[in-house]
Amino acid sequence: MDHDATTSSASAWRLLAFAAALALLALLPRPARADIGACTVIDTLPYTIFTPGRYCLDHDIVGTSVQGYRLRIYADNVVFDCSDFRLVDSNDANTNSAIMVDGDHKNVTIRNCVIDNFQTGIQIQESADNGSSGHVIENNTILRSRQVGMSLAGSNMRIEGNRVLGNTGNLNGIAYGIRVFSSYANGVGNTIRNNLVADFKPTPPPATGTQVIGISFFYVHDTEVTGNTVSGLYSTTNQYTYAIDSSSATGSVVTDNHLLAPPALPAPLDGNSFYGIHLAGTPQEQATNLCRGNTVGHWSTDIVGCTQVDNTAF
Amino acid sequence: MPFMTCLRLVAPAALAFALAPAARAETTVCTVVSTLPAYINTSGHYCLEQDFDYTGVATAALQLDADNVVFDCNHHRITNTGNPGSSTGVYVPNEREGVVLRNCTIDAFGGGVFIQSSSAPGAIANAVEGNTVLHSGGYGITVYGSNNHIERNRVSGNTGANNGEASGIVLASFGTGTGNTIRDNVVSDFKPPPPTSFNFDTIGISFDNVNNTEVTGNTVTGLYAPTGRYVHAIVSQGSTNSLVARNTVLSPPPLPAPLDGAQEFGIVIFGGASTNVCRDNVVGHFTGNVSGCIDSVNTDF
Repeated sequence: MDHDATTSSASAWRLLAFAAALALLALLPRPARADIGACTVIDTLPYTIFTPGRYCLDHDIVGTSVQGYRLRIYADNVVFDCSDFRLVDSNDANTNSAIMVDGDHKNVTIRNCVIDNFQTGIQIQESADNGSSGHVIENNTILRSRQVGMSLAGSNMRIEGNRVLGNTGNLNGIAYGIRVFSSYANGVGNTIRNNLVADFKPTPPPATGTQVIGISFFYVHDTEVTGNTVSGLYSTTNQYTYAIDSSSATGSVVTDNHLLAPPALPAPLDGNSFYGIHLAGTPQEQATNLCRGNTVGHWSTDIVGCTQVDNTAF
Repeated sequence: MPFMTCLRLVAPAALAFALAPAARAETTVCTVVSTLPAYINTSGHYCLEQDFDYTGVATAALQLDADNVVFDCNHHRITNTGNPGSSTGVYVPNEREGVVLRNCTIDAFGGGVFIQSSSAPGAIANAVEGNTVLHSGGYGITVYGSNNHIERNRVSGNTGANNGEASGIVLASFGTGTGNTIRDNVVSDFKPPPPTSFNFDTIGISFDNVNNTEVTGNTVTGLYAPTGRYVHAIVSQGSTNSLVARNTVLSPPPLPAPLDGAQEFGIVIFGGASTNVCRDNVVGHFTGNVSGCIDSVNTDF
């Protein structure tokens, strides 16, 4: 009997312990269903990532600072996923980049971020020839940039499904959406795909003037620019807007983009909607570029600098 | 956007444990909404983890009254079983910014989703994406403002039960809206009843008083209108510099009265014909397939 009682008591305790464990499991967060798996949560900024791995946010980070960067990525093979949380700089005079990748790193992914009111939303620097490559910038929303939504240097980058909206240009009158370039003119194989750049109303410029560009790429070759929409970009009096602009770039393929200038507004937003697609270069360079299937409307000049096939320009 | 791993706020001990720093299995946490109607007036991430049968009489089953709210239904369903065809499924009042509504199935409300504003520039940079809106008594999704995107939603089976209105996606502003996108949605299978005191046409997608709007990749099919009324699959008024491209717009086979209203327009933009462009659309079986825009490389039959 004692043996049976002891056994029964032990079983009961095991059952209780098991039930308690189940109850505890029920209280814990559900098993991961996220698409990037485990990640290290970044709680405060500024912060520098020095180690490859997966990082994420689990809350908005609203800060104020004057200049520099908020999140610096200084490593290869980093995935940073904001999970739709926001990085906000509440200092309207800041000269910050929200996210900076420097040191010639490779294979950094930045996704699902909402970045609001920085001078530059996402910046990737390159200081050595072919130093930066393989980055993925996808599904980010960049609001009210003071100057540039994304400034990305390197090769073999994929910039896809991002939205750059409402640049204010209130740093110095310049309002760029997406800039892709290489520092030694040897960048190659970048893809700029299915992004939306819209609704820029820059403030009146200082004496140096202003330019507004939706998507620009320069010192890069064999670049694919496809499926993007650039719409509703204004420039200030006597200044110019370009929807897609390149220089010193060869082998560019610009296809299936939708580039619509906005209806006229009075001064100070009465600048010139100058070029829909403007691929600058020598005649030999321009002969290597293709523009196909684009819809381009209401520009002083719709398309220049490429072999043109099946575009709609009006 | 990944699925959200949800954290119950009803368990303080679990909350304290779950909020411990360092590596985690989830990329986000969200506050679970466990009862409806719900009124959210604080920014943050919220989600559902169950279906709901809504029997309330409130204006909306879910009201998102704060900026920067991400609400993910995780593909759960909110069904108006109390008074089908009335109330609003999800209501976003007061010209909000940065609201994201995704992965919701909203069934049998008067209006599925309503992002409201009453002055320019309106609600800004909100997203309605990946939702399914079924059996609405009036409209599926209505958004007023600028820089909003309405993407990958399905609006189907509108009944017109509310007052005869059957509209799929409605975008508008108070005159200065700009930069909105309506992409890759499906609007289908509307069979509204004969109009009573109202004379609504059946609308697939409309955008009014907004500039630089992109309407691309949508499918609008199977919309009927009651006797004496009209189907306009994609329609706009008072809008300029619009792009309507790569949409598939097909009228259904004829039905007898009371669903024998005219299949009048596939794509029609009233006013500003020289500023709007329609390209690469496939439009079939309407009295007027494409009109009111620069017509380029469309297939109409």
